[in-house]
Amino acid sequence: MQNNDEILSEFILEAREILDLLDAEFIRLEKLPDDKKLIGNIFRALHTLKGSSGFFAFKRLEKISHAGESLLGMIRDGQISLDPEKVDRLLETVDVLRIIIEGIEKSHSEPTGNDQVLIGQLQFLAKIQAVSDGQISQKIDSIPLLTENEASIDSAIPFEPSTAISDKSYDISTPVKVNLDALDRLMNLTSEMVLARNRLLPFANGSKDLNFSQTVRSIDLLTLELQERMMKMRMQPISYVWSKFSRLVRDLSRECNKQINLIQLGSETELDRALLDAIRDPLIHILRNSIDHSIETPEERKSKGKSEVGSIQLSAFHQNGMVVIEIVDDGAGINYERVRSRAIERRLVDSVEAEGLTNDALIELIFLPGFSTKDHISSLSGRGVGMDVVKNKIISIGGSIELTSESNIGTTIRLKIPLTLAIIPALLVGLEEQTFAIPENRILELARLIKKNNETPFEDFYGTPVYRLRENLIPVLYLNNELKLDQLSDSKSASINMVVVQSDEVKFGIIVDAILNIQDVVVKPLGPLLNNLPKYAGATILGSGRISLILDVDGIAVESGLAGRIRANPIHPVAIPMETLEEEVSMLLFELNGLSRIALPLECIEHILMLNATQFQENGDKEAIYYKDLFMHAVRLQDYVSGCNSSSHSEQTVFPALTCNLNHKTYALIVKQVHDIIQVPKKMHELSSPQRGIQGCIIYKNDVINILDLEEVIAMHNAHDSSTSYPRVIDIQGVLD
Amino acid sequence: MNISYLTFFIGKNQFCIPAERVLEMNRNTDYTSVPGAPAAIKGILNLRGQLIVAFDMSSLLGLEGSRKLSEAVSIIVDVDSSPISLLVDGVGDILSLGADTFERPPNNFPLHIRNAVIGAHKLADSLLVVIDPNLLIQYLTGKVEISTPVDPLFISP
Repeated sequence: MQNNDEILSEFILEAREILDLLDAEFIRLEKLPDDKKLIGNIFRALHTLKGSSGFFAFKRLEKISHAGESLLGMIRDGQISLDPEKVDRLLETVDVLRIIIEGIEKSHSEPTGNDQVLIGQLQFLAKIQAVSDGQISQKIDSIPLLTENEASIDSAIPFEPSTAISDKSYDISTPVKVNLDALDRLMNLTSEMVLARNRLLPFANGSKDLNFSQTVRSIDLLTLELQERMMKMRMQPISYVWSKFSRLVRDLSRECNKQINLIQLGSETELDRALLDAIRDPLIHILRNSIDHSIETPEERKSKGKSEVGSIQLSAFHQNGMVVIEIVDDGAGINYERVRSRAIERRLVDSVEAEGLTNDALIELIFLPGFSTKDHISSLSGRGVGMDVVKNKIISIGGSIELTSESNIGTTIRLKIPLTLAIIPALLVGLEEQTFAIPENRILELARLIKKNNETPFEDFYGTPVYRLRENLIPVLYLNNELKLDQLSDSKSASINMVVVQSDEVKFGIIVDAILNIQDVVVKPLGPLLNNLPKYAGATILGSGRISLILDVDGIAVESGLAGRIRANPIHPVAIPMETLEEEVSMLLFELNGLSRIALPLECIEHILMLNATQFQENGDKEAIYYKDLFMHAVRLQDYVSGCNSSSHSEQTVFPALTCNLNHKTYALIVKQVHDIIQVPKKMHELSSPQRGIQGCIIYKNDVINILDLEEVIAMHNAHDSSTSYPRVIDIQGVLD
Repeated sequence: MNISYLTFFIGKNQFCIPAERVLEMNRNTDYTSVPGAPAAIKGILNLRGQLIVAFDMSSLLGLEGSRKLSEAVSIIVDVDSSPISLLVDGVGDILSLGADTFERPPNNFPLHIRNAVIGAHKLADSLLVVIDPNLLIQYLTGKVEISTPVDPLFISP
């Protein structure tokens, strides 16, 4: 019995895969009705399903798939042609099959039901055209009429075992199905292995036995590889979620009488399986919105001078260790005036306030709970559960969502999703005897505050400690107070360690005893017993085997009352008239060979990396860097900027690199040394004669600081310009594209 | 039919739990305390890569424990197929006891431990109180709201 169950569950799994495949293939078939190979595929898939149903004596499955198969057989043989009605019927067949399979999964036996109507329709479709088409009337006789009589089944199918079998035999590496639970367990064991390895390493380092340390070294490498492979095994291509969408879009667009073409780009992009499951519903919701609200009916589109067929483009790609998913439609876009009036109607803002809102601010309103602009409630969307749910879901998995829309051009929604949640970089901090971890993506900066004359560096804001961080007041929390540990006396040490973090709503400082190091930690949940502690995001096991709690910055902000308090009464006034006179920007100050003061706006820079010489790899006549799954073009700035000694590639062994994104490419700008982040006026001085790679200059503390012209440098880099002379004309637009 | 019980001590008091629920016993009591957690939760332990919650039985049962932490024993118990650790002063014998010696707690039983105690066995010279780890967790999760199981990779916002 056990064995039977196993075979049955395998059958169900296989059947589901076949049905998914059929869904996708039918949609493709509709577009390419003459693709014989495609029809052959579908035919074989349905045939396999029929065969296995016969084995289990699932009569309904067998009969329906048989009827579908016969229709397909005739389409394949060119006896009848495929039209939307047939596709509809065939898809309906797939749906019924799916319902039956689900029934089998629940009860382990075939649910009862009457499929005569569907089977009749399929048979009718198989006959009608053959009859109406005089040219092939000869063939009618040769096609045995289908009856419900079991006996006729075998003779009626154009059965081709030879092709079915030969196709299979080419498929040598059949993937093995492993359930997610088993994978998780393996994952856990692997992280244990990593920890055991960590304990082993100090012995090897202290040992004089060469053999021993070599063995440990190889264990070390193997463990590392094992860990990486394990992480990869959890990854699945995004097509796992997307494959269902063609059917969804087809059905929904039919329902609203719209014509929509779904384009999928980058469906091979891989994401952690748990994340894939988490983004499915938000994506479906976004697609529904696009179909229902954004894409216009063919008539409307025609009158606007657009193609009658609307298009929705899904694309996914990697960027800076995140996966970016874009949903772009070419529909009507967001009607900002409607959003405004709707927001007033729903009392989300008052009418005076609403008038002053910019388009960006209006988009923010769409993400508020209970917002929906569709006047009537359709079956597709407009139930008031809307974009706020989508946004919350995306944020809960550590992602972000952006929406831009232009009237009559379309709407673009951009989701940024982390690759995995299992391992995150975190800063370890010490407090009393314990170690806590703070997720790195929440940390803005670390500050070590020296106490002068034993006085606290904080100011008292009516009982609340605050700190002046570059003229901005940020509230300060003592971690030991927040966690209700023993009161730590301020005077113990001469300096105070502060971690400046950004929560959802506020920026604040957390005071800790010690700042230890940043490392990748494996996040483990605290489990149901400790689930109600919002201050923790989980826990991790450190190399020593000790457990360290991971702090949840948002949770701490809310628990401390900071998030609520700030919202009610912001510490930073929206505009300080004195300071707005001169708008300031943050610049990163760095040094190149021969040019000691050059700066780049901080907003252009994604990361600062330290690279050693071995990480540079040849890439044609250029250099490239492959760092943490990210391919970057290496740009040695000194080769492109006036006033640098480009010749001397110096004996420097470690190169700081500033990574930046331009036109979907990632560049690593190699500099000699990074100095500081400075606040400078936005307005810069033009250079009297243009200098290669320099945009202009600013004065900072009586020094002249050059501002790098990033676009020009990248353009020169891409223009295969190896000479050092300044090119007279650079068609920047042309080169950048 | 007799049931096997593992007996353990908190100070001088003897208790027992059904032995079939016990997964293992060890002296790994190097817990990490979780500030803000209920008082009975001493912290979390690393059991071969799995995080398990360690309960301080003395505080749970409202008794004065005599132990120094280094002398405590951690009994790993299976509750709803996820292990928890009960920190006790020491363990005693495994006893096989039948239903004939079992009594339910009287009505005036102290409230704070009624939720963890299902009854007692009348031994020759004393009463052996039976703790049910399941009841214990239900009692705790009544206060500590239990929610749907979270995906191990899911960090709650």
